[in-house]
Amino acid sequence: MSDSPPSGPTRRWVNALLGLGVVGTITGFAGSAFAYLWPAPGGAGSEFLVGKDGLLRAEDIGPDGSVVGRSRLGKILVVRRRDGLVGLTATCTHLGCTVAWNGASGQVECPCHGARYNLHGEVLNGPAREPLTIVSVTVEPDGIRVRPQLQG
Amino acid sequence: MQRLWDWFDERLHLAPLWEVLQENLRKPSPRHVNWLFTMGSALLLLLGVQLLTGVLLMVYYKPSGREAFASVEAIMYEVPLGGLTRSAHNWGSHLIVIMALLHMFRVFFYGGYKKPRELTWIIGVGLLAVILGFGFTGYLLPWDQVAYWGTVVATEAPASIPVVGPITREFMIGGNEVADATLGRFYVVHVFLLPLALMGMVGLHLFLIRYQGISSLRRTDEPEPTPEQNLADGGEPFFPHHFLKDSATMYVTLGVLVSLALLYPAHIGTPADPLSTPAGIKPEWYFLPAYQLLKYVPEVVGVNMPPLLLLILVLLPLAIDTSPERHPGRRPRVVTGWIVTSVLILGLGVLGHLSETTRTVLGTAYHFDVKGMPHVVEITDGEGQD
Repeated sequence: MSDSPPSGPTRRWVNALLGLGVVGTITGFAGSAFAYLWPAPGGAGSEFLVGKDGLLRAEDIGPDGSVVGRSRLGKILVVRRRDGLVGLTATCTHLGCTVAWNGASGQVECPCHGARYNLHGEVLNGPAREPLTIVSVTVEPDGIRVRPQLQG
Repeated sequence: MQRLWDWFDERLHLAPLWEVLQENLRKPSPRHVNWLFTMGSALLLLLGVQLLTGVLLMVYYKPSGREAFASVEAIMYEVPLGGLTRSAHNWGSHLIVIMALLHMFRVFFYGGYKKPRELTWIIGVGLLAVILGFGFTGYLLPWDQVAYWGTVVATEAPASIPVVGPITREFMIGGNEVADATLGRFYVVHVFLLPLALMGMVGLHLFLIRYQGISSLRRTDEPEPTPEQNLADGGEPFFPHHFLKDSATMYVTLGVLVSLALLYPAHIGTPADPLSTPAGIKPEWYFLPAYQLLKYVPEVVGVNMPPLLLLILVLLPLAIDTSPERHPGRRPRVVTGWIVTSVLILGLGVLGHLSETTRTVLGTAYHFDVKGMPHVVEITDGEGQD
């Protein structure tokens, strides 16, 4: 009987199958870990604007003042102007900081890298390139309802 | 003691291993090895201190959005010597980056990364990346405003990479925005994955340094001096001569670290508030060049610059500087490129530091805008800076 390892087509098949099994096992573990780590979808959130301490109300916003809250549409900035409330997405399109309304300059400003927008969401000063999105704001007895702005 | 040694030796045959160790300790270093060659040991000490203080902090730290800030406050103000432990960990993180950069500069100017030590250099670059990874993930853990928003900006940046950017970011932070899930992920990376990588890489780095010996100053196409030649040339055995220098530098480093921790304790700001970004958010000083660069160039360029620099460092001994010369004076192009790049990075860091502040220079007040450009302003409330 020879001491050399068995060879031939059968052995090659067995080796290939064993190799495939090891690769499959590793892939299975890696895939499972990846699926485990994949972020779970977040909750739908409310249509009403919620602040740190609960539902925000229109009366919380003074003349030329503003609030930032969360809603189904993400973080929203609501500014009170003479002709009513204006709503904009509050996440700076540059690097994700929360923008703030500056009543003195009449602009929406990002404290991180100095991007500035007007109340139409348009970029007035870089480094942001994309505009903020205008949202529809209605005042209801339950709070401030924000919805996507209808096109056209 | 002898019986204990015999017990192990009988089973594991330690004598040959002991002989190798002895030989290694006696191996003479080249004559040019001086105090500058002790920075690696200081780095090793600092990493050890980080490991120790990090484990101590883990005992009380709670990695959740609701509890993290309060637990750090408790560590600082309620746990005995907690403030010192956190401060030492905080200062250690700064000193490690400084020491790693100094160590890298030393190796660069002595040409120590050249053949046959390319692998030691590449592992060293990997270690630098791991150290920066520690800084990046550890920054979030106190969960105060600065930590939160610094991380928002830093994690938003990769999203600008075409195609894979948004998914990478979402996977990295565990959702659409920096939140509880991010803290959990960063915590695991900071306290387990990075230390694991660090220990493996440090072990390999040290093994290669001892195995290959300290680089000579000869051209790479000349044979390296043998230990006997080093000895005849005036080199001294590693033990005790260089070991003592290493120990002295380590003690001085430890002294500096403890002094800084005692004199300038780490502080904590206000709890993270995702609805309100405070003004003047800036990252750690070693990320300031990248932060400032993002103000001048499109995000996709700015974000890719740090990894590109690390890649250039990896390629340095493999493709960029393959000449046999080690002396900095005989490789002017690479040395000039290195110095110019370093000055540019330093300049960006300084601009990042100055940006959005008002400072008085020789009696004139200047406001440095977001891009770091100075504008003369009127002083209304005396001298000072913000």
